[in-house]
Amino acid sequence: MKGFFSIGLVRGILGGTAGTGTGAGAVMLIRMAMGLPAWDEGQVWAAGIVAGVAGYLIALGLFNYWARWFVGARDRFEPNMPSRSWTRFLSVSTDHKTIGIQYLATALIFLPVAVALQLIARADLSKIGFSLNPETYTALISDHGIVMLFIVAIPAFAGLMNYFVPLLLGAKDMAFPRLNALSFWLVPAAGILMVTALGAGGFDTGWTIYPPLSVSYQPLGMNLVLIGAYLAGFSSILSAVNILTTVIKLRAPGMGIFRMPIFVWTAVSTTILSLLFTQFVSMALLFVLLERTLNMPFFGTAGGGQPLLYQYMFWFYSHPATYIFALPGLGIISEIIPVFARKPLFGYKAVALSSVGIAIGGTMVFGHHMFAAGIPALLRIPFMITTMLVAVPTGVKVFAWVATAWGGKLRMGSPLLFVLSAIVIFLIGGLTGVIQAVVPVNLYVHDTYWIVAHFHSVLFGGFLFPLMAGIYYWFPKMTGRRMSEGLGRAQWWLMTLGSALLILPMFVLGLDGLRRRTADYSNMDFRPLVIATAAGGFLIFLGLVVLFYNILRSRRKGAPAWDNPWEGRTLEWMTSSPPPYDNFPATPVVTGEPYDYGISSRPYADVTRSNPSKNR
Amino acid sequence: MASRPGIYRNTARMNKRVIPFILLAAVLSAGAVYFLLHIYNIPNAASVERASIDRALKVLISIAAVVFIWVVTALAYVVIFNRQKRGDTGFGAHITGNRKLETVWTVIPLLIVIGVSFYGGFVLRDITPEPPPGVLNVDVTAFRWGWKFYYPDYNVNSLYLELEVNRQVEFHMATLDVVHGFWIQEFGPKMDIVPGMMMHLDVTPDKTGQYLLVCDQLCGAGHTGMTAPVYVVSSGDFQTWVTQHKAPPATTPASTAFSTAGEAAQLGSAVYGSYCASCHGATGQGGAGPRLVGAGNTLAKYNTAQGLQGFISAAMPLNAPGSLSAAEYGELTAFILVQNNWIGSGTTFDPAGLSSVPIK
Repeated sequence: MKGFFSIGLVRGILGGTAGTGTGAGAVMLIRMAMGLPAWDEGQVWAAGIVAGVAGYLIALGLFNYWARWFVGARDRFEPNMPSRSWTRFLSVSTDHKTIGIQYLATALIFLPVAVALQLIARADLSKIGFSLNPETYTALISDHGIVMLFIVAIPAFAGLMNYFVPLLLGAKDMAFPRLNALSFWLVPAAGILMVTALGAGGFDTGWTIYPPLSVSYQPLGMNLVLIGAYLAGFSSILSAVNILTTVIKLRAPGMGIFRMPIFVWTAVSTTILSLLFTQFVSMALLFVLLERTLNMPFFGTAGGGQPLLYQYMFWFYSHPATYIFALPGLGIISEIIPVFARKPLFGYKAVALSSVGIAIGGTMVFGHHMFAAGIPALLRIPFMITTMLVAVPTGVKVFAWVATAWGGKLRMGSPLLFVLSAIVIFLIGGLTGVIQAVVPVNLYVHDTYWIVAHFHSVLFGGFLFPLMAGIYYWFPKMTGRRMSEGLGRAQWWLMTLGSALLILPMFVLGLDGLRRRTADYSNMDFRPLVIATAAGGFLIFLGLVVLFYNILRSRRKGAPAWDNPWEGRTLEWMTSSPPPYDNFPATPVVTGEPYDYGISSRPYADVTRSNPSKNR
Repeated sequence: MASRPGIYRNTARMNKRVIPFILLAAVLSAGAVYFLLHIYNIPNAASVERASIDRALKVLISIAAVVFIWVVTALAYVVIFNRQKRGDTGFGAHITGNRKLETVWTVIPLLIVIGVSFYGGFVLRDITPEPPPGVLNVDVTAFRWGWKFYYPDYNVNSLYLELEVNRQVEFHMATLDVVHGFWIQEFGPKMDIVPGMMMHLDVTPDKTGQYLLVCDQLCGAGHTGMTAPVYVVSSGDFQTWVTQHKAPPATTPASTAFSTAGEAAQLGSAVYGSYCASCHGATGQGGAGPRLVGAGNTLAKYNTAQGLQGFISAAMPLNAPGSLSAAEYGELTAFILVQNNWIGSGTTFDPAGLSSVPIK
């Protein structure tokens, strides 16, 4: 029994329950003291959930170190070198590799859930014999969107960044290991809140949560989603501080910024964006929650609020957010192509700086989400121009990838297959992005399936396929075993065909005039294309099933990977698989270029010589 | 990082293989552009603005298609001919970059997007014309979940849109509750309707027929069904429709059916229920519109009851200002005054003598 309670998650759940009771009870007491009826669904649950999350974090032990330091108690040894048992993933760990896998596993558990929510809605829309009521339909698609963005996309890449940024830098761990643990453990709480929202009445606002719809007309589920998204945003900010500090302070000796792998460059660009902009959406969501529970009139016109203010704050983050999702993906593509083409990355500096260019450009384009929403007419053209300019650094990346592969000696392993699909799909997303940035065209395609098709191609090409490539590429490093190549190919076929079937019909549907977020349509000409889209989604779901089978199978039975299965040059391949607790046998000293394939006399780094003076 | 000598050994063989791919890409792009510009049609265009948008869409998709085809053809070439042979453990050519090439593929896209921006600006000017004299004004009211229309030039109320072909129409749009979106696919542009704001949209229908107005901004359970029919008819038919649907002339017999403020407020309460409650709440507590009754209302800025009455008569209801009779405006004022206890119910009420009634 003692062993059972030593699992962090068990204590966390108990602490969460206790916290919920305390918070809810406190609010009910205050209400009674004020002479009000004790029960108010919104207020009591909101306080209960916030206190519950606090209880869960405390019971997990995330604040133990800081609490002991605060009261002056002696620092107790933290069990940083955990058992090899899988249960270590259910407890707090400060090891960046464990946290990386915790993040990835959380994202991969919620990914099929979010796909399944959408598949139910798609089946309804295909009119194959059952029908949902419109509230359920909209709740499903809204939850699909928000879970995908906050609990799948951001945490999945946070996982890969957590695991591989320190390794790629030659560091022993992240700069702030305890903060790292805190930022991870917020995510499962957020995810569970967002999914249980469906059981608490759901919410039919779309993932954008525009007031006044989200303020006045939504059941309790809306509160759960708001708190969940706030927690996820908080986690994202903490993890951004951590990764940025790690990159600035913990690079191996000899690693100037122009010797950093591109994945690190994209991690920096991403984290700068998260750090600068996440608070805007967090505040906007918090304001909606306060307006819902305490009648503070931020956005309601009745009290002098302004609904458009929410949209500005929301898109101020949520446009840069698309780059937060996509940039690490572009980094993974840039990592994998040189390794599998056996050829140096073409134009390293341009590719590195283009990530920063995309990040800077991406901060100035949010207005293009509101061309039809009443922003001052004079601002439409400037926002159109800034949006288009982002296409230039993005183009630099795509052309550099093609030039890298050109004249190379391609090894068609599954990571490269996923990368090739990613490039093609991302290109569709990027090019349609330029088209719809043109204001008159935007006024036509806004809020139609064209937009849905566009951002799904950006996210498939910039997030989903690079994530798959990254998993196949780095799985041997994380586990010491290789994944099955045959299953990898099967998954690649399923997901590539599925994506084509899912995305392309939606562009046509949009141009033909089908609105997004509608639970029904009367024009039966739309039906074949709607069915094609649903079938594409189903193929992708099957692909995920194959992926999970491959992961579970290869973890036990995969061929041994040894240290460097892909013959890569970057630092993560210069240590064992999986790496030891301190990552490297000795502090690596970087002496060459990361992608100098073809000149074996110039290795990237030396990990064997001991270097006590620079030891970190 | 200059390229090193000796790496172009295979150049001649590569060139021979590249030529068919260049031809393939050229043929495919030409075919795609021809298809997009001359064969493909986006269905159901019925306005001047929509024609401009369709043309812009086809031009832009053509440009994108050409870029897409060239990049994907290059990738296909690489995948087919640049694979590593079995047993080969060597490397590809050691090329780390090419300043000239990189400049070219930065500058050319830059020029393309600048050109596209200018083009987009011109098309935007085409589809957002200034309202000329003789424009048909239509006041649009959106609410969960339906539409109401009022033609101020003709004093016509309607639950569907009746428009005149080849005559520019300007929609003045307001919402009673949440954000809605105004879109008639056949006409092209759309516009969100944000609470507390008056939104405007100009289009010129150029084809008679029946179309559908839809709400394109998610607004709750009834969103999908929030539609209204749109009829575009000839000039003659439109005039006939107007004469048939004109609201009966305001034959307001100066209704002095009250003498005290309480009686006037009683009548005003009914007027309030039909025209104001949807925004300002059933008891004046506020909603999409500001609060009118009780602590926190903002009416003190009008100083006197006369100032308040003047504002209401000129600006309310938001979707059809000035559409009520003078008597109704008087009754409304009495209703608000009594609800706030700014005037006693038993006091004699004279709509013309309100300057002496202060608002606190």
